[in-house]
Amino acid sequence: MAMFEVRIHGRGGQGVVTAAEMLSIAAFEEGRHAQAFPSFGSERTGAPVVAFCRIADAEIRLREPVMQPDALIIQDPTLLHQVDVFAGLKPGGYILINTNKSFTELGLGELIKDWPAERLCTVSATELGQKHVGRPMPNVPLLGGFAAVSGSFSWPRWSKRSTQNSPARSPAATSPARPRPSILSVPKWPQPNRRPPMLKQTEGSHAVAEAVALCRPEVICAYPISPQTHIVEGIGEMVKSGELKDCEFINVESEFAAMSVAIGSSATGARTYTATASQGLLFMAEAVFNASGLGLPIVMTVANRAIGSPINIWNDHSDSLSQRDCGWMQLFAETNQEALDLHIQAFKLAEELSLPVMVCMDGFILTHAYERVDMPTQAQVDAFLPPYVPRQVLDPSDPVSIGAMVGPEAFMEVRYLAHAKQMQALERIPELAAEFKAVFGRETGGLTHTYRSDDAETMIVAMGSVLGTIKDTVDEMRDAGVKIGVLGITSYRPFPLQNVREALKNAKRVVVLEKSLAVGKGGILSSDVRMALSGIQLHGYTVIAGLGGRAITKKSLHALFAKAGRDELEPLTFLDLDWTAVNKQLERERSKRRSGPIAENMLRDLGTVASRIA
Amino acid sequence: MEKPFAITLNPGSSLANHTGSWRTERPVYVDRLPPCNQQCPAGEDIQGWLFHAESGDYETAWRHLTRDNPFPAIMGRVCYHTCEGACNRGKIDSPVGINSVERFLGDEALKQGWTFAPVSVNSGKRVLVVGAGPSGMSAAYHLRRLGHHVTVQDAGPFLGGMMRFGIPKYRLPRDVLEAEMQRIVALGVEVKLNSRVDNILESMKTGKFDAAFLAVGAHIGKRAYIPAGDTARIVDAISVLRSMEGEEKPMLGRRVIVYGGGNTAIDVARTAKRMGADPIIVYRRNREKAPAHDFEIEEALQEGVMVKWLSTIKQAGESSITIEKMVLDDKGFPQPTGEFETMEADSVVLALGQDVDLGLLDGVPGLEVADGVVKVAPNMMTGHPGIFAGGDMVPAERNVTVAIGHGKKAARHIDAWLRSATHEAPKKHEVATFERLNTWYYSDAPKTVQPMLDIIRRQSTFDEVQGGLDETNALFEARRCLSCGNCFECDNCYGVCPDNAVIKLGAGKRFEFNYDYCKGCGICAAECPCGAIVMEPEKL
Amino acid sequence: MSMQPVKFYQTGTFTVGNRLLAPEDRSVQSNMERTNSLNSGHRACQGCGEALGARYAIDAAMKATNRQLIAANATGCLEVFSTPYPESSWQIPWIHSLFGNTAAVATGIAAAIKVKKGKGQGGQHGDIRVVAQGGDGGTTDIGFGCLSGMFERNDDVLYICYDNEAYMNTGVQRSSATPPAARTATTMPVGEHPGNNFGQGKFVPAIAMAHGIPYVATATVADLRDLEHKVTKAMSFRGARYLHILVPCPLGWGTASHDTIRMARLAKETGLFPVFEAEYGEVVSSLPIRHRLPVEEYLRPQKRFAHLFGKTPAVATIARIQSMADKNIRKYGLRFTGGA
Repeated sequence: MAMFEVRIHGRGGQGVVTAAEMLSIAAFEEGRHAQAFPSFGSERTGAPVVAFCRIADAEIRLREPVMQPDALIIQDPTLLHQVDVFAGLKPGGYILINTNKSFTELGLGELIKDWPAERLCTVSATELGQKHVGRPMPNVPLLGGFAAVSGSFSWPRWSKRSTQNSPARSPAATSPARPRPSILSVPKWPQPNRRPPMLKQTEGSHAVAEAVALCRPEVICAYPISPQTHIVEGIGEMVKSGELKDCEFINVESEFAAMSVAIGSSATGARTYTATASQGLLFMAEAVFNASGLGLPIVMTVANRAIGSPINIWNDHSDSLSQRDCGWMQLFAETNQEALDLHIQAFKLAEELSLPVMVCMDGFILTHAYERVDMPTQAQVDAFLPPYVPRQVLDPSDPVSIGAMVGPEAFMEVRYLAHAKQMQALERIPELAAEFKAVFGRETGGLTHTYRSDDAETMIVAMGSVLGTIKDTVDEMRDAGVKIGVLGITSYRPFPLQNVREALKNAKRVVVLEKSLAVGKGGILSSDVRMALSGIQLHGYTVIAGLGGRAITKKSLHALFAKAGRDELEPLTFLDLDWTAVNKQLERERSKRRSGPIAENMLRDLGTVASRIA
Repeated sequence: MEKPFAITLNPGSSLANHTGSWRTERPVYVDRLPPCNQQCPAGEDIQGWLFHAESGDYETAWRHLTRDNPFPAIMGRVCYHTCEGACNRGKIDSPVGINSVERFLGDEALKQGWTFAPVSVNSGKRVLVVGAGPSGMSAAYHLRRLGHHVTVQDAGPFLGGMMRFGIPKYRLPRDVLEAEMQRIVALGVEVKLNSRVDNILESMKTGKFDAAFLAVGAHIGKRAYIPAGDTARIVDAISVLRSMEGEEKPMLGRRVIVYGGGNTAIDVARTAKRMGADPIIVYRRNREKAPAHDFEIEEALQEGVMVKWLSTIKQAGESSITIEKMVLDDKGFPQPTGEFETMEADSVVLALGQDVDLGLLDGVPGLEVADGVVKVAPNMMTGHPGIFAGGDMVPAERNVTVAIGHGKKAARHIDAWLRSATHEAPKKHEVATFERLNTWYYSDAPKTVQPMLDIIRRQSTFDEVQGGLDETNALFEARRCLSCGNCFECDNCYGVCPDNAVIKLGAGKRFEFNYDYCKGCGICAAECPCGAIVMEPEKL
Repeated sequence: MSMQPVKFYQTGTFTVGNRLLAPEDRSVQSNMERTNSLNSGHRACQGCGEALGARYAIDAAMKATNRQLIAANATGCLEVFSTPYPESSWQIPWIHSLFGNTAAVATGIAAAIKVKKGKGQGGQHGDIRVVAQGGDGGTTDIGFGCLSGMFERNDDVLYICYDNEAYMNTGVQRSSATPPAARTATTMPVGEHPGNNFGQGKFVPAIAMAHGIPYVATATVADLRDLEHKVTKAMSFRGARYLHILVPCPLGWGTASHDTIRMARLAKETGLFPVFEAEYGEVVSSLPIRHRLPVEEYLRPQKRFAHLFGKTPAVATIARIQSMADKNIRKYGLRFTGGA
């Protein structure tokens, strides 16, 4: 698969992330697959920011940051000596810099020695931005420059009018015209006959927002928390603009209130949706249990994120897994398409069983990634999802008391019934996936998915977006003759013990790679998998990976899986753990009573800010 | 609705949980005796008739009142309304003007021409009532209503007895008196005036009476020995008052000395004042010790009657009297001082009490007389079977209200006796004392209204010319009643029960407790304004 | 003599009912057809002020809304005694979710109703309205965040706080509504400063007013007509409304079960609990004290204040409490001014 990877460096406020997204849209407009995503930081205006864009002619599964870019766009030259912007740049890769100076003047003479000249470009992008839009916004001029330089792409919509008044210093560079805001709106496929009408290049959050809107929700409540914000912002706007009718959007004062509002509206018979992440999920935890206890079919997106302290906004699965026993169903999405589809299925599942569903999607990695999705039509969703008919409802014409105090005489039974419902869900989820396919023509959902698992001796078990990177790795290992396969778990609750057992029972070893840690024990998902394998003799490995947004790279996975294949892996492995930093701290604690805060010590040792590329 | 197990429940299903079993005390509705009722010598159910007056249903109120006392217009004028002294409202602001409301009802009845329901039963028994005064006419009324044939015989020319001869017109207009008397006659009571009974046994025999009620008034003024010259004009008070009813008014002169400290003394002094005299009351003790009602003394003083307290008349001459100043000893008895004073006097009116003429009783076997009155058993029967007595003739306080009460009481016993039964008065309820009430709930009389009320009450009691309460005032006054000890359907118990364990039965039907749910907290009893609920221990 | 017409009705509107009033002027509670929204058979203690207050308030709300009412209920005594499986005392659609989220649950209900109404799926007999209710703990403490959020958004919810001044459900622990010096299980009458501390107070009605919401009122179970009037008035407004009802607790206060209403009356008559109403953040009326009493009259019958009246009466403490009452009287204009 041909893939072209671009890395954009800049500072907060310079439209770095937007640049990556626009690039992906442009590629999409050409009919290519593209993936754009930021380095997900909490940086504010002026702080160094990185964004990535992958362009390929087939679906992109890889979720690791762009480690070895084919092209670099540097929106702010002051970063040159501050950040290792050239790290991993492929030899002879494209370099675009926003500057009035030459490469040599920038002190890059040594670097570009022997570099193909047509792949080097400087653009006075800040000046252009100032001139054309009145703001020093370098992203669009640079993209224009990139279009001109790269040559391998054609940029019909941008570049045609952009050859005039070119201040480009590179002979190959052309100046972009005034930025076209239309690029951010729904893109038009350049060759309409080829493009399915509902395909679009959009952010995962927006895709989910649109999908939720298609489900005709009646009450939506939300409290902002990264990385969930774009989802509820999207729906909120649709409600406010009137695009989404018969829906109340309530800005609540906390996640606890969000779930509580959802409880009230769901109990009153309204289809109800909310979204949260991380601390937010914990803050609403009491109400989360309550919603399932009351049997209210609320659908909630969890944009998976780590739980502090130390506070960390990046992705892992600690949040939803901390609520694994709360009585909600939990479905994990691998891609944005799946996230979108699972929401539609979730409403139907929840309402049929009168039990709430969490749709879990990796924070930033999916929520903030621009990629291609096939957005269903309203007619399709309506055909699949019937109107909500509540099992119990607060209605003055037929009053009931909901939420009784239940003592020892009946509490066990109530809990058993909740369990029984989830057991029903084990049957219903695959059926729903089939029904879904009948309407939408896509395989989405279900309990589990296997990948290249036939005859696999090594099976990798994982959940969420990391499955893409794993699959790419597995493909490469298969190409090298390794008998390795993948089990992706979509339904974490109910946990499909039987499916998992079937999928893994013939392997020689199982590696559970999970983005969560049961401190003091090891894995969380691993424990579930182990239960499914009860009585089966095989090697089992738990790999804790990607906590707090630590990138999970193909490179690391290769090494990991190879080691596993040799059965040289420790039963519990922390992928890419910085042992130097850990040992230093351990030593410090051994020697000093008041050793200080761990997180801060480590950062000092590492000499870094929180946002590294990988 | 398919309800989730245990979490979702049916509405109101807690009725299955009978919380009454928690109870250690149970509330019980009671009727207590209001202090006004307890006090009323005529046995009126004052709270009972005020209850109807409160809602503006004056006819029902009047009918309720006249179950006990057929003379509300008279009572409303001459009753000394000791009920008001007992009224619990007096401990909050001032007593309910019971008397004035009674008068309003009586006057309203006369105005509207309300009559008593005709008597529909006939016992076939005949009863002779001797004396057409308050006691006799009261008895006649009650006996007639019980179905007996009643004949009233009176020596005088008018109905009313001492009410006519002992009470001045300014306190009791004669048309009012006559109207209330005639209403009883209209019930079918036979009346024989100017018809003295000289021998009761003979009269009974002649008239074939099965029983008799003696109710002769104290018409004979008591005399006292006062050394007096031949020309001194000394008369007795009762004669003076009686002569006011005739054509020939008494000639008392300008300087009239009234000797005595009772109500009759006041009446005669005020009568004299109205005749243009300058009356001076001479009384041997002081104002506090005077038997006359203080308000009457006050009114007399306001009208210009003079009083010489602590004085006795030692001698009466043609145009002057000599009085001796007295002092009260340790026991409150007046003792002479030897200090004398002479006062001008055209006449001396003795108001030293009255006696009853008991001549008609001579020779009645078994009948006992002592101290000028007839001994009666608790059922008002004299020692002679079938002969009952009341009013001034029996040992008791002598006033109209007491007399009316005697009439009612005697009537009931006579009725029983005639049926060879005994009348058992229903057991009296416990008294609704002030402490039993929760007075928080009663409205304060607004400050702007209070002074006017006072005026109205005074009008009703001493100045006939100005009339009684108008309807608004009467209603207002009636509504000041606290309904002590008797449920007036304020719904408090129904409302304040945290367990909805009080069942409201509807207007006029009061309430019931639902002991299935009553936990016995006692809020209903504590918050009952009139003290009509008691908490009783559960018998376990 | 001309007599000005006087409306004087024996017990006026002090009693629950009054046969002398026109039917339309009578209280909801006096009506034989009242809804008994909180039905018999509930498991509240004898003489429970909260059970009483809840029926008063909800029955009035039911009348005001033509019985189109849904209630959300916080965890607490009211919830526990009204809905222990398998029996419910509620006659209205009712939901209990959690201790601290009742205002938000009510917001959700209101939102759902609004959407349903927009779709033509509203109540069959008029608009459906929402009441949220909880104790002082669920309102002034743990539920305060949700309450404030509901106020700020001006959601169409009437929130009723039944204030019995401590966590009675869990065994009488201190809440932010517990008065100074009061004994609770967590503020025992021991040490140098026995009973609850003199804090700054947290008078939620005033905080509600600070939100500028359409209607805020206080009431007690001792003034039924006032309470019903306020519920009815609250229902005439759209948006967030708050009603704070003082409901004495015989258990927690250490008072006789029959004294529940009397204690509420004393709280009002001493000025310790101001009864007033406010619209859009401004006080518009207050219920004047009828017969002003010193705070001692209120404190003395309560065992939770018994330590103030020991061998050496805590004169300074009582005086401090009196000054709180005096301040309320000044601040809320509670002095009786007379008039017809």
